[in-house]
Amino acid sequence: MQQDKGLTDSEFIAIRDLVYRKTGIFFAERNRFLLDARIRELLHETDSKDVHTYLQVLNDPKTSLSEFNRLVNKITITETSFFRDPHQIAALSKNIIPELVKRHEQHGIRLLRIWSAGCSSGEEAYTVAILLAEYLKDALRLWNISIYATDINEDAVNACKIGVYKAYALRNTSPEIKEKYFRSPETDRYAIREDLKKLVVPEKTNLMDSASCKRYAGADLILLRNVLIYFDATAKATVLNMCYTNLRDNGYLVLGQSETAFGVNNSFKLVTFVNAFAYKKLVL
Amino acid sequence: MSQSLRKRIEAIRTYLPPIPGVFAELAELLHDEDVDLRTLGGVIAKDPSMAVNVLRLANSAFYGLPNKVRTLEHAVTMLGTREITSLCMACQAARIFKPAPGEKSIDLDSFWRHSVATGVLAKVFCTEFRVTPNTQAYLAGLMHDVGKIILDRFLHSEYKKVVQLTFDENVPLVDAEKQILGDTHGTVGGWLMERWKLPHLFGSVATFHHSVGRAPAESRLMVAIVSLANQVARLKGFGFGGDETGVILEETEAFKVIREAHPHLAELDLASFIMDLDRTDADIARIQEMLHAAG
Repeated sequence: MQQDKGLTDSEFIAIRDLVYRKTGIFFAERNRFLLDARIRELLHETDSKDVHTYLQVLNDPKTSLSEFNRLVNKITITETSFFRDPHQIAALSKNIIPELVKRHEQHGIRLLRIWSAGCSSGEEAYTVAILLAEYLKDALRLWNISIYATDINEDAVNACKIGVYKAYALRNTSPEIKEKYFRSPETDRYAIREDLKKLVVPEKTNLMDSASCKRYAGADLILLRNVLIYFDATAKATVLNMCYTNLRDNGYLVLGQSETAFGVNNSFKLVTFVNAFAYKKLVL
Repeated sequence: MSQSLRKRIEAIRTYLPPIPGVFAELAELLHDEDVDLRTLGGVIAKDPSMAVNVLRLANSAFYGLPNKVRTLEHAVTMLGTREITSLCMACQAARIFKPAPGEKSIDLDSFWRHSVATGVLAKVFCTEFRVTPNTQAYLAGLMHDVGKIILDRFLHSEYKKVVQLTFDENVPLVDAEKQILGDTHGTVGGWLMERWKLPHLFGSVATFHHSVGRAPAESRLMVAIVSLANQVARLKGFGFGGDETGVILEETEAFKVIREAHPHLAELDLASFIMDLDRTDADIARIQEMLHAAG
């Protein structure tokens, strides 16, 4: 096993390009160490004696699909939590959700489609479910709500399906919300309330696959927080255009707090909230 | 809105407080193109604490002077008499609008924090967007909302309802004013500036910062700058009241007026620009503290 040396230039490029071709995720030179560390773990797990052998496994038609999946699951592990970024949460609960609900009610449609894209293990999707429950209160059951929670990482999607979290994932969640929307079957385990769990639809989705992303068309709100950081300029443009197409008129796209669509997609209108931003598909 | 409320609002115009002595003398200097240091020094000498505060402000990061200024003369050499006159007026402003002991009033801390933030951002925008002359941007920003204090003083219980409505319904304060009072702090602020005979720019800013398009052409750009600063101050968390609504800044009248004068703004990444304004937070806090001490 190759334990001490990192990837050679040609090995790094071979894996980097394969990952980019299939997922749009791009490892720039400065992030090479991240890919390096993950590949070392994979060599160990797949019993490959060196990177060359591992590349053969990765390219072998018999094993490539499952091995590539394993690779993707390794390199897209992201840490997240419920109620992450209080300013964005406030913009959602005080402005975006009320606006969407009121607009639909005016048209007599109690239907909401929300897409939490690249959501990791689903904390964000369930947070939105809680925000909707808080805003709609008893009327929640009168609404037809689908919150698609998608990620390219199969392990993360499975965790979202289970909907049980450690206390650490709820570190920004108030005791009242915990009490109201979670049950704690055992110490350090919090299970999301069943009726909210039913609103969330976890699915494995590759954001670069525009055809399969079409199933999220007609979204009122897309959350794509801290996902663009994985992509290069071309992939960013592809994903943002796909989001624009998939949004309903006057729907919102929310990126990570420090991300901007400027210069990548200028069709969106930037909406500034108190210490938070969102992008609107503005149609007057 | 009832007839009697309208009458009470109209009455404010008759009973506006007169301009205080030192402030009046400073305001007089603002009209003057060429104020000499001796005249300015003479006015400042009437209020010893003012000189100290002006030096503190001049030495704050807000001006970014390379060396510490220790005398009024030095400050004037570095910043000019007009800027120093504005600063003196800013120092006086907090004191003038301080409520009498026992008087019920709106949350003055958040009022001044919002006013200072608007003044600081107006000045920053002038620099960033290369708008000149900008010597009065800070003072115009600081004073843009004085109408709120006047309305609160004359119609306290109604104004309390106005502020409460912004919290209950998450609506802009100016909309809540229209709903409850049938008129706005802009109108009343404009009356005060007129009564005090301040340069027209201040009246325009006070009256039209929520309706930039109606501002007279000669002051419209500065009104737009303060209007944008007013919105951005709120969106950076320096708001007054409970308005947390979102804004498409580039669609606002203010932004369009500024962009028309400075077409390069079309290329501005607004999100990054607004995020970068975090650097002004420390200035805003420090200047507010100074004004608080001065008041």
